[in-house]
Amino acid sequence: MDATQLLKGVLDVAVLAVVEGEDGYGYDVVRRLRAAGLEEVGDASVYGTLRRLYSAGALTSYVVPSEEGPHRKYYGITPQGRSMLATQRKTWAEFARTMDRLLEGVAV
Amino acid sequence: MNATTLPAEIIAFAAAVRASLRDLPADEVEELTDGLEADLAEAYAEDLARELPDPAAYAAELRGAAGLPTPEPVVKQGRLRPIVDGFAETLRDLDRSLRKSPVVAGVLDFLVTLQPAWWIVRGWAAYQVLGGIFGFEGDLLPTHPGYWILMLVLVAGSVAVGLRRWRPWVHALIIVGNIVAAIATLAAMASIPTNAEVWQAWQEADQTYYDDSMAAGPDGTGVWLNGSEVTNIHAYDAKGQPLNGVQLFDQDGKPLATSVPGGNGCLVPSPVDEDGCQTFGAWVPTQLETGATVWNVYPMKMAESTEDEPTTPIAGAVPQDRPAPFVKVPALMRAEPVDADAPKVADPAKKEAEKTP
Repeated sequence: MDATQLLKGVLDVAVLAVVEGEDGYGYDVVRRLRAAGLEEVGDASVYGTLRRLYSAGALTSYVVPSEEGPHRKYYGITPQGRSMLATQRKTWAEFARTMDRLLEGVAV
Repeated sequence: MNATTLPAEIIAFAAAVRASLRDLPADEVEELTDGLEADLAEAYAEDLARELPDPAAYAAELRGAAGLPTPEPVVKQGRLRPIVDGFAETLRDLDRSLRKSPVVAGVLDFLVTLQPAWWIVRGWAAYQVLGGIFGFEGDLLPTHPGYWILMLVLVAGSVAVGLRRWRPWVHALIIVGNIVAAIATLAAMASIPTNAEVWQAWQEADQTYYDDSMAAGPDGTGVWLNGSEVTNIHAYDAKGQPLNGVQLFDQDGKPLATSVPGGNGCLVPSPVDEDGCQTFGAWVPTQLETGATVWNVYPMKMAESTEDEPTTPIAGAVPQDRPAPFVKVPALMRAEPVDADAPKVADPAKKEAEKTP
């Protein structure tokens, strides 16, 4: 089973969780996801996800000019994003428990 | 935004990603790719060995993750498209693998800064190619103001082409054009004579001049006596009387022709100027019974001609005898009879041998 396939379904909640901790710009979010263990995550997937969550109203964005290079676009979580994250956390926890039980049962 | 700190390939990559998204509304593309350069630059700075992915695939991933519609699958027009794409892909791969070495990457970056100079050379090369095709101006630089304008227009066009980013198939055409221009430039460079070649040409010109000035006549014939041109020959028989119609040959049997048909074409020398000529004259050849015209029958006669065409007798001119240097010369000590049935002259050496027992 390909981890990147699994990742697609949960990237939204992963990104929301990262941004909830602290506002971040595109590559910063990528870096934090990879540091958390999602090493296979693709840059473009994360950037696209950020953009989609922003369009859905889950994130805000603001531009921070940079002295030594091009400006950065930061994303922060909105109240709507927080409630979305809360819902998805619950969904994921239940789903994970179900899967764990299922997989352990099969394995035993 | 200060873009000068960005590597050129990141700018190019971001531009290619935006190009792949061009079917989306402009503001959507802007939202989606805003800050892309900063992210890429940071990722790149963090890991120098990192390879930039295929911009189209990257754009597709971006688009998919953002939940945006994928474009209608573009029907690849023509059979050339895969070739063009493959060519572009090969170039990108080559560039990526070459840039793994920092030295090569540095050289490539340096070469990129020389690009504008190439655009100018390319315009000039286009002028040379056009000049070659239409047959005007074979020189390295135009000599006519109109051609200068044409060349400058071509140079400006080449620079304009270089400044824009083109679609792949146009880009492929430009690459082909570049190859043609490079060949034309090399060919033009090869046609510039080296110093040695110029020197050689001068030497040959000198030699030719020397040879020409030494040549007796237009047909290259001539008889010389102590550095002076022999223009006519006067023969005298054994009794010292002038002979007419003497046919002369050299040791190989070749006709002994003097300065003909040009040569010293003066019928009457100028009475005042030693080197001048009052009446011009053309040497007149002699007809043999075979019908051949020969120039080795002496003394040769001369017919009046003009200064403009000294070698062509004027119409109706009568061939005239040339004054002989001597009316008569001393006879030989023992004039031999010329009769055919006369006894053969004995060989003096044989006579000597007969005397000796």
